[in-house]
Amino acid sequence: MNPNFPIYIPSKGRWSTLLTSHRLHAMGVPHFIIVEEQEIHWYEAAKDNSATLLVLDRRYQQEYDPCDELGDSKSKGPGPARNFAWDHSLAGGHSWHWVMDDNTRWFYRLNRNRLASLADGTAFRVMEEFCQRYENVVMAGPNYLTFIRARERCAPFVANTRIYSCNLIRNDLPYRWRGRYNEDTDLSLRMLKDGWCTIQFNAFLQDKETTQRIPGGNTKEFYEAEGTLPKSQMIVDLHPDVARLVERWGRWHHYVDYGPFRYNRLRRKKHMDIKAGVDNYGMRLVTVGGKEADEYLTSL
Amino acid sequence: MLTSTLADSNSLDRVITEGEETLDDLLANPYNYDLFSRRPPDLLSNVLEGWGWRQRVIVNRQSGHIIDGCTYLEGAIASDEKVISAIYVDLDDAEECALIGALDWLRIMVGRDGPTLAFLRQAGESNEPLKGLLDALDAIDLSMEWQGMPEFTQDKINAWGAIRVNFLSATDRDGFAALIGQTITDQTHSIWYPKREIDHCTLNCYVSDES
Repeated sequence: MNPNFPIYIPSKGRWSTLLTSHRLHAMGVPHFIIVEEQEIHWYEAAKDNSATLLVLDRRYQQEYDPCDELGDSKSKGPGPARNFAWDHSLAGGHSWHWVMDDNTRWFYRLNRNRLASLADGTAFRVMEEFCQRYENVVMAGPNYLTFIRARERCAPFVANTRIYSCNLIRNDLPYRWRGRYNEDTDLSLRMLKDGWCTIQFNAFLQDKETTQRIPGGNTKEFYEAEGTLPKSQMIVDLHPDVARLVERWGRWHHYVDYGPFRYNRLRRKKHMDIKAGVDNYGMRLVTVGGKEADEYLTSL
Repeated sequence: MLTSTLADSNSLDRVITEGEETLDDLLANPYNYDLFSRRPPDLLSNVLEGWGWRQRVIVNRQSGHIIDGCTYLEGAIASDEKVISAIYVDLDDAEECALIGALDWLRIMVGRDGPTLAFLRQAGESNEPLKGLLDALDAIDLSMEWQGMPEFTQDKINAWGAIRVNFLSATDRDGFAALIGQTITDQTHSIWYPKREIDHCTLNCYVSDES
């Protein structure tokens, strides 16, 4: 089962890895990769059949608000491509869209204290349908694998916190991405401050390669030269009411208090017919290498 | 109508008196979500018939509100009683609300958009035990929203016990591993016995029937 809404992956300088795209291809999930014009031939050579390339319209870079005074002297990050994705999705008549970082290795489902990888796109459909139950949920996505301990109790989702790296976004909103850094945090906070709700799923998780560990993306432009201080400072400057700067393990980080938004209550759409109990959407656990898994993988 | 005073003799120092309350004098609690009309009419009498009306209701003397015991009150009214046994407590608004939350969380859950929860959340900002209660309610609340979604059972797994086993050599370690039928490597920090499939299962994946 595939998601109903289009998936976009902004990517820059990472045609040799393309982790998220390759993973989605392995899961049989079609998607778009948004690239800059000068790199398209590299991506053409590297992409899988499930991926469709889109060239980023330069206007999105020129008109992007980086929230600083540095203009074009530094990369503006993935924000312009994310805005391009938003508008592309709207033009296609979609009510939601997914936008994902390009360095996700795996997607997982958590249940019964087990983390098992997802072999197809059913989980994306589940997340979409869950969000569509509510009239005031505007952004959602899976939590990071590293933030979950499989032996600990947790809820299937957490409401009203930051959604990052893999974002399902409702299209009919006036927001757009902004900021040279921490765009995810900024967008989440703007939505939450306006009383909307976000949903971070623990039932489904993403396993990202550490941001600064693989080349390409923002690594060269941002972190190699300047460290993490400007990145954290920006979100503190934009949201001083809930964000503050902290130093941990020799690096600067930002701490955001999402506590004020815990009372943004989820409001179900009227006349929603929700079945009681469990609906696994046909998902079942198989052993990799077992006969059933082999048959399934062969059928892809 | 107060018939006796407990005051200093009671270990709950906010309980100040006990007595009998005239039903007409009792005030319904505005924070207590009203479930009366949702209960099947015969349920109360069927369940409580054999118990009589000995259970006391709790009444806040400051506000005159019933804190707990609405079920018995309802039964007393249905039985055309005139008075009911009561315990009186002396609580301000925040304390009253917190006590309702602790005694009757299910009603709060059902009326979770109502004034009680809003009041409790405000009070919980500066009250750690109350905040803990609200966090627990939130977790239940979120799980209730997950109806019709894929199974999600995620409890804390605690070991019954743990011991530290020391080996003089790698050979001894390997011998122990063979003895219990598990693999132990230099990277192994802990194991379960019997072996449990928890955490990261690299050998499993989820597939879908419709794919």
